[in-house]
Amino acid sequence: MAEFTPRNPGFAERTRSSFARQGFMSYLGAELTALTPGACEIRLPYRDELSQQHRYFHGGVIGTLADNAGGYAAFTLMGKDDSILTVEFKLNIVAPGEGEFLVARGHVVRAGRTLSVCRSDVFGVDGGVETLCGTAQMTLMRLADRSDGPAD
Amino acid sequence: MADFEPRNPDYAEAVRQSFARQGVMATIGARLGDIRPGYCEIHLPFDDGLTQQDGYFHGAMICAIGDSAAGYAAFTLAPPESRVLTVEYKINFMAPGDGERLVARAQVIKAGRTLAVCESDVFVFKGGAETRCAASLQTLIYINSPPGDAA
Repeated sequence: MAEFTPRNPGFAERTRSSFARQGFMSYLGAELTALTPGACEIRLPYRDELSQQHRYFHGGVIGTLADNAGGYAAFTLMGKDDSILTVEFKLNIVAPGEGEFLVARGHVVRAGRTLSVCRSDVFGVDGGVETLCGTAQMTLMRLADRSDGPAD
Repeated sequence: MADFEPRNPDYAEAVRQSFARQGVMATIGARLGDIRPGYCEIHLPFDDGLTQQDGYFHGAMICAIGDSAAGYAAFTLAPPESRVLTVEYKINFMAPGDGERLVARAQVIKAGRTLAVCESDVFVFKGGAETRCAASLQTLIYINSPPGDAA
C-alpha cells in the first residue's frame, strides 16, 4: 500500500468530526473505527432493520459502507479547507453480508488534485471470522475551499 | 492476498494456449508475463500504432490488456475443459499511458462456481519509473465447455 502524506496534520480529528455530522451513519449505527492517511475503517453492528429478506445485511448497506469508507479514506488527504463528494462507485457483492457486524475498509489508490480513486472492501464478521462480502471502486471529487457542512 | 488452489493442474499451459488464440493480443503485440494461481500479468510495448491523439497509449489498449489479464487470472482457477468470458468491468484512468510499455496485473478476489471477481491494475513504465495509470474491477463467468466450442 502506498504511503500518503496528509496535507492537514489534523486530518484525523477533522475526519471524525465530518463522520459525526453524517446523519445517515448514526441512523444506521455505524462507527468510525480506524483512520490513517489514505485509509479508513467503518463498523456496523447487525440489526434486523438493516436486513434483506434472508436476514443478511442489505446490499444497500454494504454499498453505503463501502462508499463511505472510500470517501473518508480520500478525505484524510484533503486540505483543511476542502470538502469531498462521491462522483460514482461500482460494487461487486461476492458473498452474503452475514455476521454480527460489517467492517468496511477503504484505501486511496490515487489522490489527484481534483479527483481521487479509492477501493473498499466490506467484510461480514461472524465469531471473529471475516468473510469478504463486497468490493468497490470509486471516484471522489475534491471541493476546494468549501465548507464540509451544509451550504450557507 | 489469499492463496488459491487451481482446479486444473495444467492451468499455466491452458492460459498460454488460450492467450495464443486471442487474435487481438497478437495484433497489438501484447505478451503474457507472470502467471500464478489467481494472478496474471500482460505486457504491451509501445508502438505508434497504439496511440491516442497525444501520443500516449490509447485507453482501449489499457482496457484490452487490463481485461485480458483479469480474464486469465480467473482462468488460472477454472476447471479443466472450461472457458471464461468477461461479464462486465469498470475502469478508472488515473494517469496518461505515457511510456515505453504497459503492464497489466490482475488478481482474483473471489472465484465462485459460476462467477469470478478480479481486480486489474495497469501500470506504465517510463525511464525506469512505474506509474499506475488505471484501476479496474471486473466480473467473469466460467462456461462449462471446452475452448473452441460455440457457446
